Amino acid sequence: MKQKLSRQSENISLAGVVVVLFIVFTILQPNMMTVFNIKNILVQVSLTAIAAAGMTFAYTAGVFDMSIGSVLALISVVVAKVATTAGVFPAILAAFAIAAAVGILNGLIVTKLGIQAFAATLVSMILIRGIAVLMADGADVPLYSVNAIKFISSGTILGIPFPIILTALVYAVSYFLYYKTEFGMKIRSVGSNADASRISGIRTQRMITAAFILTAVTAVFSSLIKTAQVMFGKATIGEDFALDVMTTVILGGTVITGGKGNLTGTLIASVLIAVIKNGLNINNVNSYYQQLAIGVILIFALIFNGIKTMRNTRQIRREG
Amino acid sequence: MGNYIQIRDISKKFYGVYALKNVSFDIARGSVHAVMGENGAGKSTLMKILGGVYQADGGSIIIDGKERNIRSVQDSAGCGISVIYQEFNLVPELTVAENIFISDVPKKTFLGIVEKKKRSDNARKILDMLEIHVDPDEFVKNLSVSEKQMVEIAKALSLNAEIIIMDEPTAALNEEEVRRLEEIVGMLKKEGKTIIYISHRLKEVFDMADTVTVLRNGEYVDTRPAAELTEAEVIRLMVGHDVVQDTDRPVYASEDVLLKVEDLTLKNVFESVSFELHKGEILGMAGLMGCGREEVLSAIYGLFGYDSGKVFLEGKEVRFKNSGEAIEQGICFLTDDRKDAGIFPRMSVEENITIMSIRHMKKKWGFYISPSQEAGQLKKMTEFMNIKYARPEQKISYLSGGNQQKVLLGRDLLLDNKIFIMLEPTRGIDVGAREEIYSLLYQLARDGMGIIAVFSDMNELIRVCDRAVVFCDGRITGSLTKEEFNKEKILTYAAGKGA
Repeated sequence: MKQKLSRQSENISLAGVVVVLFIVFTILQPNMMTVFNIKNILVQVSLTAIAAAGMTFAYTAGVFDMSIGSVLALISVVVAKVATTAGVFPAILAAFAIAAAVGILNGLIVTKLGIQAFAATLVSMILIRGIAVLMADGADVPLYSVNAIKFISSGTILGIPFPIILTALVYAVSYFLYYKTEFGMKIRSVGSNADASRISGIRTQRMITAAFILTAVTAVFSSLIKTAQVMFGKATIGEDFALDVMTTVILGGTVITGGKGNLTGTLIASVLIAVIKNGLNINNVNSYYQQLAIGVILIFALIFNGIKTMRNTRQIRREG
Repeated sequence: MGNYIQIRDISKKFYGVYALKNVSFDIARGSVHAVMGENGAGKSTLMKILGGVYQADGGSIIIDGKERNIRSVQDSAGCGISVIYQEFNLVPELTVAENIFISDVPKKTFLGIVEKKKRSDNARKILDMLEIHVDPDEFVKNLSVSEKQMVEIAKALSLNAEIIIMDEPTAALNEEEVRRLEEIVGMLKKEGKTIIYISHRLKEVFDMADTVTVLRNGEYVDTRPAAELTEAEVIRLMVGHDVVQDTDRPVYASEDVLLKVEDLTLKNVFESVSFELHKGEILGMAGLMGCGREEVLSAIYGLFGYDSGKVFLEGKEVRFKNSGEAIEQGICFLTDDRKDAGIFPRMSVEENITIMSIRHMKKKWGFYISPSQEAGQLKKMTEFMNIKYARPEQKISYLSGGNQQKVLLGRDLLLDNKIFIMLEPTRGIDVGAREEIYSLLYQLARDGMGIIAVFSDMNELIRVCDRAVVFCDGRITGSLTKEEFNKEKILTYAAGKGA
């Protein structure tokens, strides 16, 4: 109970920060609190939040994925190319197939070759970006002819923007997977203690690969939203995406060394970052200062997180 | 003389719970003073207060007539205290020599470069003195658990402290090494050092200690000269009631061969290992450090491969490519490295116990696990093995060693197992829990399971097992039945001098 509460307390304090910031921004610029702007923020949230759900699995399994920004670009180009020639559904199918392949590739490099996740995904990041640029042939692939795609970013169901529905769905499935299934438990156990997992008969390599696949697959949703927003297949999008997503996950309270993720925290952290960006924008703050502001807020979040971790290890040491 | 170290009314609370409550006793200069008690009795907490890791909430520590204010590890070292902790504090990526002199780097040349050779030589001197056969330039990560323990001891001795605290130094050592440690302790005592010694093993306490202090539930129970105590009395003081010994346990071993291993060989690790395990049998595996018995068992379990040889499970040849396959066939494996390869520290007690049985749980829609099922499994094992924890969601790292071990055993018991491979099933756990684990082993044997148990403590091996095979340098050098058990014989075989 206490543990559950402590996890919740972390989320509650993070959510508190969101509310306070939102109120401050609204006082400074009342336009913040309009239905239009809130929808806008939530659509912004969906971009990072969806991929961050997958990344939470990766961190939990003890790895992370630098390549998802490049995946975003590659999927964007592929979707544009296939959609204009073969149609929307083949395009989406191809997107998921490619993402799964990328996930498997990352997983195999890390597990079979024993290369650290950072190095492995850094390499695939460069590689995949290269493929995307080659495929696009240095130019953006226009999507004007396929208007149906527009629905992914700006369509609504019962007045709710589609990206928000997509986010809700991804999180519902992730929650279920993470907390309620054997799969989730195994992912957590691999990140918590790989040796013990192996002795317990868990295929640790498969689990790590699965985490990479999940990350890449969730990045597909983000890519589809982004692509539909710009209506171009762009090989240059998402250069900061991996870092944004990783920042979100860590800010949300997921432990970097594996074993303990916090999906709720990840979701709240995505909202927090989107609120900060939107609030600064709406108040006409210079974009240079925006980076600075986000940096300062992150430092505070990490200090808070660090104090908590320190307290935990001290407690563990006592029991040893 | 009689009160070199005076511990006065030391209290320490963690989150409102007393870990130590008004503990007072004296330690004489130049004596070996054993502090005993079950896990959670507060021994380690007290030692950490002396070592400066924790600060006491109340009370005082007087050393050599002066009240000392120990607020940090540095303060503690300043008082001439050196602590060998239960958990290793070695840096795996550094060499043995670098670890030994980690806080005490030898003289540097004028450029500030550490004289590596000198350091290695100094390290070798200490290691030689202790008769530890470890290369000072070897990386600590390549050492076995017991070698690490010896390096830890060497590190503490390198500081030339007056007061040496040993917090369960023998938990990872085998008989031979324990004997060497006893010699070292005797040597230190002769030099006039004061040694505070914590151990669960009664025998070595009686071998070495001059005085015994017993703690129970954070409170002081008694201090007496070791010569005036018997083992049974110490146990009674520790647990607060008498413990029944099981000298005449029936043997449940039958004729049915459960597991047969033939000429198992992995080059440079073990060679032509053959043995049989019968139904209802507790088969002990003895040997010195690095004798290859853990490796043989790991290979059978599928944790790594072997070059040649055959393994038969109930007459059928098997070869497990990974541990999952072994588990499918009803074999389970209890690690001797509970902290690093056993528990999932960031997960709850409940998740820790169900991690293996989860694959057999009924799942709604093929993958949804109902929480009540997990809770039910935990409850079953909690009752069966008397596991103590605050709540099912509690992280397992907060439990005592004995309870963690019970959770690990419970993990295996929730499956339909036929063969239990157990490496040091009682390592680092207290007397009460140890007895419970023994009776669990007997119960499993009675139910027709086969148990392979590795014990470094020969007294345990002799007490618990029906039969033993002895390893030396990757080969089986002897096999003994219960009637033939005796320490000298096992040691002779373990040294490779057998028939």
